Amino acid sequence: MKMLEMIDTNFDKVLDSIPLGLMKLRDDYTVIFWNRMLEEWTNISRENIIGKKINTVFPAFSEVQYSVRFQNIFSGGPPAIFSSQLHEPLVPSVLRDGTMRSQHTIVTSIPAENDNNKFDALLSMQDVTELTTQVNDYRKMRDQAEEEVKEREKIEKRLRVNSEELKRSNEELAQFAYVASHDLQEPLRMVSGYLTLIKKRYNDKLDDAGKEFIHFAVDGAERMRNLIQALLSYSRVSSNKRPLEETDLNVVVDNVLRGLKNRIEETDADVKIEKFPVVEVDKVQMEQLFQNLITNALKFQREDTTPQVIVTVKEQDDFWEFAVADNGIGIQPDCESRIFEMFQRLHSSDEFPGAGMGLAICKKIVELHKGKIHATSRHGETDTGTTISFTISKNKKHSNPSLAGTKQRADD
Amino acid sequence: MPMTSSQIDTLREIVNIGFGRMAGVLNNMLKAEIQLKVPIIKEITAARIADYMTFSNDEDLSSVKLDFSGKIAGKTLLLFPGIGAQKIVSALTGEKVGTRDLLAMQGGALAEVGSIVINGIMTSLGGTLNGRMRYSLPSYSKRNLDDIIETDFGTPSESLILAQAFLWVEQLDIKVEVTLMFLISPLDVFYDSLNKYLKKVMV
Repeated sequence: MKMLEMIDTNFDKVLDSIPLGLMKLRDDYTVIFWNRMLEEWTNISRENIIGKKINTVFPAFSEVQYSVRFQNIFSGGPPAIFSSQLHEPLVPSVLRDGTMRSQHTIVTSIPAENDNNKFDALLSMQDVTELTTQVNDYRKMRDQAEEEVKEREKIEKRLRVNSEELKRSNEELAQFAYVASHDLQEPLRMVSGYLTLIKKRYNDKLDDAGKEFIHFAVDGAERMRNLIQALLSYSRVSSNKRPLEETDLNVVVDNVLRGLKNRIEETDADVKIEKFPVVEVDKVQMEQLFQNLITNALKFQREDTTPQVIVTVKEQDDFWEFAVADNGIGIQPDCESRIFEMFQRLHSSDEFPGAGMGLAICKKIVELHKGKIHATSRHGETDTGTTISFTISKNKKHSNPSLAGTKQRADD
Repeated sequence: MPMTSSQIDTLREIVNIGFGRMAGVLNNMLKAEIQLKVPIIKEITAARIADYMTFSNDEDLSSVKLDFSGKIAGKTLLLFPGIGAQKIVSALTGEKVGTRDLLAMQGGALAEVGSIVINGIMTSLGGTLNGRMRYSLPSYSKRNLDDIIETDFGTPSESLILAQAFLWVEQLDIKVEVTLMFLISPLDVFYDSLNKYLKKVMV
């Protein structure tokens, strides 16, 4: 007997040191075992609870969802699980921070000590607070990350909408510029025509001041006509969309040089052109691009200098890089990007006539061919001049002409 | 020796009572009425399991297993197809079907739901055997049918009893096919218990 008592006592000690809440209930819900862990969790000593009905202390045990399942256990049925995910703790236990301890409970049926036909219920409660907290923290972090992703998606969507609106607005503006410049031509032609008529018919009846006023008015109308024409040309670059076609740029540049033949001869210019490739481009726009760049190279020169123009091409992996270099007056470094803006002039129209639209049109053409354009300038004592470089996206279908030879073709 | 039709009817009745117990508990937890179709009972060999399943062999299934011993010994395996399991856990936890939270919760919650189903049936079955049964803890796992057959059934010729029932909860739009497989040994003792139970009920 002494031996048995010793074994039981030791076993109780074992149950007390297990990190689980353990409780044993008789089939009438009377508490017959209450381990130390439960004493710690609930602050209820075993002396104060053993012999009491558990549902008088913890009313949840009387709820139907538990009592039905406990009846199975008291009949010797299989173990029941009360997971922390589906149930509030059966034995509420408040932690130091005021939160409730999370419990995963397994209830097992064991034969009653003094009656082989009866079964007791052994409740084994595992503290899963830390795990639950970790899961909740992870969920919070994940929810936060999801919120951030949603917010970023919202911003991206807003940017996309803005970008589409900007594109639409630009298209509308381009359409407006085209329509406005086109429609302005007619009334301007009328103003210009009547001013010319006044000048012809009434010139001898006007005093000197009157003649001067008419001269200014005619000159102003002429300049306005030039500006409108330039604006219209600029608008047409975007609005006149033609399909890209394989184009031999040698032919294009030949046409340009033919048009500039008188100018080249008058100034005795030295124009060198490399052999060009065949590329997929808008042929008309390419002609306009080379026309503007070579014209500028011939135009912005000092009076005492023989113009020298060199047009080169380099093959890169994905694009062709062209350059039109001259020995002209050059551009101040801070003006190198400004010159591609609309109506930007660095000199008076008396010095170098023009509407200030040529390079803006060049930029537009290059961009429509998915390329880039920029200017660099030299300001040495003996070496001055400007190089305008631009790229044209390469099409793999294109032939790959030999770029080895450089020949002078200005006087072809 | 195959089951007689009266043994099949008796087992259907016992399983039906077990499902009824399970429905009572789940009704309470879901706060909604569970409806059940009378289960289909078949004795088959392990090799033919796949022939009786409505899901594909590689679909993820939630399974809960309970080993038992006593006058007879064996195991009961409960299978829920993935989406049905998710819908039940969703109804119990309030998490939306298809979310990662629900999948994370599924294990613990389904182990409990599965144990409720198995407990209902095993308690009912245990009552017919006139002897104490011992049970393992219900264990949950997520596997496909091929894995289950390979792991839980020794040989293709092994006999098992298949119980399939359809449960639905109209309020919560839940429709689940529940499959139970009983691997019992010795089968003649089990059949004898069924015969005795039938005689007792008939009297």
